[in-house]
Amino acid sequence: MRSHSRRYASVTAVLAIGALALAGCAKGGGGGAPDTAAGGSQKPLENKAVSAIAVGTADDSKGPAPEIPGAKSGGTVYMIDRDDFSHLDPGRVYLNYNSSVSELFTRRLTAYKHDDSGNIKLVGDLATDAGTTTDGGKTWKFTLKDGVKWEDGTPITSGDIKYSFERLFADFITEGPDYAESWLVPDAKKPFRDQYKGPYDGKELDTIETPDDKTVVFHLNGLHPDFNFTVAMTGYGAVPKAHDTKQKYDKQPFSAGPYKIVSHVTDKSLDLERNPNWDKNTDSIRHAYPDKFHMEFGVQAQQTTERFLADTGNDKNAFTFHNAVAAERVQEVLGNAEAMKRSVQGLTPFTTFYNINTKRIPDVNVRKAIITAWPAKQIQQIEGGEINTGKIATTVMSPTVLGYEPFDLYGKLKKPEGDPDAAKQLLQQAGKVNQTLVYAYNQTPTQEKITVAIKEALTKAGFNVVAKPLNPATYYDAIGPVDNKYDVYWGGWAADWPTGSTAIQPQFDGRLITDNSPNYTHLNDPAINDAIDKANAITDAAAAGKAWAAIDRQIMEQAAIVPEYYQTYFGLYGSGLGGVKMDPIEGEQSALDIWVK
Amino acid sequence: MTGFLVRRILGALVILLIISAVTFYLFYAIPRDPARAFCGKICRPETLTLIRHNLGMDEPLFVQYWHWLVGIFAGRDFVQFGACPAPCLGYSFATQEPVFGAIVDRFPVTLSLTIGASAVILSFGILTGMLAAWKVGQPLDKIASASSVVGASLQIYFVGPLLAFYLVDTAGLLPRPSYVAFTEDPLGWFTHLLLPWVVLSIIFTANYTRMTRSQMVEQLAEDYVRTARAKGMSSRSVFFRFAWRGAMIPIITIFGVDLATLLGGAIITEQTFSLHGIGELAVRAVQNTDLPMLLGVTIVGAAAIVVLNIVVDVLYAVIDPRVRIG
Amino acid sequence: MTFPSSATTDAVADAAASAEPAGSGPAIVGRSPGQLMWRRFRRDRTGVVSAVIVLGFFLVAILAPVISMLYGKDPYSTYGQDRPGLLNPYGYPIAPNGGMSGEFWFGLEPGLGRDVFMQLVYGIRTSLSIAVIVTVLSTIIGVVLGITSGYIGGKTDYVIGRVIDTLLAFPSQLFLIVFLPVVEAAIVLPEEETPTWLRYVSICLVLTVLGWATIARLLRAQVLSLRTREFVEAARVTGASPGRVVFKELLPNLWTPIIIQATLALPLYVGAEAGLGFLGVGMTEPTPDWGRMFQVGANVYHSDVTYLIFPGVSMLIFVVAFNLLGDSIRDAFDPKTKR
Repeated sequence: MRSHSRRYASVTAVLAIGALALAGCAKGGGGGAPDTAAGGSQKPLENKAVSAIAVGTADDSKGPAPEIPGAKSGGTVYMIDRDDFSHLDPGRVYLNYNSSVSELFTRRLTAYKHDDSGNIKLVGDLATDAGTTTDGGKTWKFTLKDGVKWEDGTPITSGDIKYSFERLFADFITEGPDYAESWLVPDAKKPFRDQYKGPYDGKELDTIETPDDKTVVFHLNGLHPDFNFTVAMTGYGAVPKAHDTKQKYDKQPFSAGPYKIVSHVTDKSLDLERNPNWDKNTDSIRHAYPDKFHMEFGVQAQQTTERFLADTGNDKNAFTFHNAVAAERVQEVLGNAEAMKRSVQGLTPFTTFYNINTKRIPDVNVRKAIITAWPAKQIQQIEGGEINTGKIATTVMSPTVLGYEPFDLYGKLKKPEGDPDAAKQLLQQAGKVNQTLVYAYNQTPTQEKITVAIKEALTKAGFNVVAKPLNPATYYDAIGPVDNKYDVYWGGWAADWPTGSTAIQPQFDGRLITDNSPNYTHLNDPAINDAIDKANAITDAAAAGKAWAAIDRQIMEQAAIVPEYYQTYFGLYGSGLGGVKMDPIEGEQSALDIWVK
Repeated sequence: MTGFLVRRILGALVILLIISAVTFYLFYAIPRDPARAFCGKICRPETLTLIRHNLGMDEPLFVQYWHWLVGIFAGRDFVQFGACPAPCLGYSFATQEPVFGAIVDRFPVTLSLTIGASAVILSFGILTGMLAAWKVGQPLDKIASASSVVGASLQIYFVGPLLAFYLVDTAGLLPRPSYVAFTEDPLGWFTHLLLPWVVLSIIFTANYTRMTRSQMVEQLAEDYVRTARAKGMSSRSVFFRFAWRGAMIPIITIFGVDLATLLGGAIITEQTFSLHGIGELAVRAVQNTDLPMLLGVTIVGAAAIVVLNIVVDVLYAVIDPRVRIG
Repeated sequence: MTFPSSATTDAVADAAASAEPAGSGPAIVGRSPGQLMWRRFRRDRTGVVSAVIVLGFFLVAILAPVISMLYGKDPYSTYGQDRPGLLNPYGYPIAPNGGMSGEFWFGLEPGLGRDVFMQLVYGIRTSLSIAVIVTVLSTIIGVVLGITSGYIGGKTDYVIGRVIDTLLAFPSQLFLIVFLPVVEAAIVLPEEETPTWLRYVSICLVLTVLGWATIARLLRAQVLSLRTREFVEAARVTGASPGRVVFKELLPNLWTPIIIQATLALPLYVGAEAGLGFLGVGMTEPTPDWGRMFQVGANVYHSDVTYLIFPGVSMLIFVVAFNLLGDSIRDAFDPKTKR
């Protein structure tokens, strides 16, 4: 009986396995993306570049924000996303996701105003205009608007602004930007915390003057003609001295904007309701149509995609700041005309690239050969195509940066799959055929695959590639040292404000090279350093933009990086909402114009 | 009974202490600087030093371990985060959320997954096993044996995506697995977790079918069953009133040990269906080399296993009065 | 990843415990227990078929380079990327059924466009070799420590017993993924290249360290019951050295549980190794790996479910065959066991 039953078992087992195999084959290829396969019949997504960034006038800064036709007030807007906001204390906010929500309750001296045609203007937020400087950017003066108040009704004063900058020197505020801190101490070269320790022991920072309750004057230790862009970062948002709860402020900041936090359950939810003490006449960028926001966390991209596609119940009135359409559902969403009406897409300020260590590869022809041979298209294909990654990049600056000029020095748009023959010629010219190239990469499944493609492409061009996997957790520790032993390694960057000074200088100013500095290419070219100084001194934003674009070209001529992508964002929202837009400064959805239909 | 419990609990604490110390020390062998996660984009060396001090990382290892231990019972105060009330397992290096909070937050997911899968395993596995034993040698028995051979050989990471593709993507019979709180929507909780339960329980169910069947067959050959039959009891009541009791004892013991394996299976299941549970938290912590999170998850996981084993021992005594715990 | 669970071992423990020492088995003149076992096994058709299948898998693993030569492809070339017309812009095979064709029998890997058949053949080679090594190592360690613990007793037994207890209380799956990076980081400096063999060795190491406890516990129990038996007592009284007692008296009686345990463990290690690959801590690219194919498969199944079928079904066949083979071996060793 026993063996009998087992023979029966084995026969059935074979049948079951066979059925599984058949099932797989029968349906398998159907999903193999055949619709889009047939020679790109799919209309490629347009990445609308930011057409213009400018500094606005006092008029532009006056509230209220221009009404949106058809928009109405009231209702609750839902937000679903993967993570809770890691920081809400303005001083600790750097991440774009934290910045996006902070717009609803944190106000800064300046902010960005978007119009429908993609124009962006820097305008005054708490200040009456985008700030004024009379000495080329060393002294900056801001005047606060009348009627700006905290959530308890007390007016926001110049003293609050001064205090907000002072507390950034405290020992627990380490995550945010520190541009202003190092410009506000007497000596820019020395650690800024050695020169001022923050306001908690009663000391003040005397480089910030408050002649009256409405006026703040900053005395910087150098020329910074785009300081008014710097203070538009959420990191320089206002914090009231009377309600500064130090570390606890991070969970429950005090509101100056149209909404205040009613409850914040870490990792679960955040509830906002109207702040009655916010006056729309003081605000030119926030519409604040909804009465309430309910934000829910812990929803993965697959689930948000699913929920937006289903579009039922409260999800109709939901959007997401950050979650993009899940990569595996992109094809499906593109084919869904109804869902596409509720989609947001566009360029983010993020660019990715591969650093070439110019210290170890000093020969510019070898570097050019690397770019020429680079398998840009194969990499894009491995990562799921343009819609999941971004447009193939050819420059340092992203199209979202003021002054961006498109150019393609190495024909990467014509031959995105790489040109091994041309690369080989360059190597021969340099006499460096069989040049060894150490490629260091993050050991993740995707990166491993990309490495296979890179190794193959470069080997074809005559390089001898050594691939070195690095632990993702220690990746930056490994590539940080100036004397690291790698030749090519991946990197990413987003400008902190859309001018060349943060898009280019931290990465390519040769005088800033130290261990762990963002100059991972170790490029130290006197001509470029010089041009950076000149561009930094130009006060006219448009002229400065031109100068930075010229530096961009210089860097690409030096072949210091292999540009990878201008990253794109592609997300969905519910059918019950209007005014959901892409914020090109943060690279995700914006809550400022949203209204409930 | 009390003496037994005290001894078991003390032993469990020693095991947990060993596990935490081993994890703590091993992880510091990794040359990694978590301070970078707390540093802005353009990170200055002096800021790094400050953060290391804030996190207490400039102290000797055993002092750091001691602080960690004390924090569990007395809470801690971090410069970087402020007060962390007991039980404090520290803050994640990667997401900067409190470790204890994160675990508590994800606990219902893993608990739901494990409870549901256990229910499937015990009910379905034991039921088919008993039916197979009841109908020994008949077609039902053969089908049960055959499917348990295949079932026991399946892998979660194969069946999971496969079933998801056919039942969710193609047929749309089930919603895409996710966690819906039981308190909010019991039906949604059930339908969204049904697929993960089935996938997680397949291998185990097959094993329990086999075990139950052989245990029952064995029990039916025991003297007391023969006695009961001889006294004129119907085979149905012998089967369902006596024999299954004897068969359950070894099954429950084994299930207690298997819970650890089940928890491990939950890691793969959560990963397969992107469920936001403790297993997923653990995998992410490993990927990020996030020591506080990892320590927290490991300790909580080990504690769960140890506690469950004690519970099983107690349960054992309840089912089998012959066992005297003392 | 099903790590050897105690459930199965307990079943074996029952089976093995009821097994009489081989010496007292049914006495047919002129045949050793081994010969008896072989005769019984040959009569078991399921067992023979399973054995052939399992043998087939091992042959595929061993002969992978020969297969590659005959088939004319290798597991490393990115055919789909080198030749236009094979993959669409999203990286998926254009031809139906995951790009299956006369040229690419099992289709193409999405993204890189490598040959799935070759990936599978070489992946089986990697995974099976790891499973075999781990099975052998953990069995040896388990046997040595189990016998030592059971035979010597006293403090040694106590220490080994506690180590076994602690290891079995570990959430082993968690520890597998936790320890792998640690083992590597302890050996390699961050700026050095991590060689392929190191990952291979550390996987073997970690699986072995967490795997020996079950068999050790089982053998300890066996030895404890055996060492009070008359024939062992007799040997000791007649002055046999401990070594002699262990090798001549105890070990011959332990072969059955050891072999049964090893056949049970091997498919579990195949699953465990693949589980590591699935979680992204297994063998790294470009070394082909059975388990990593599941990781790829789980990512692409929405658009290309065929890719998942090949590693999945082949592993299912292997594990079913191996389990049935294990059953047959157990039956052959001990025809009286009921299952």
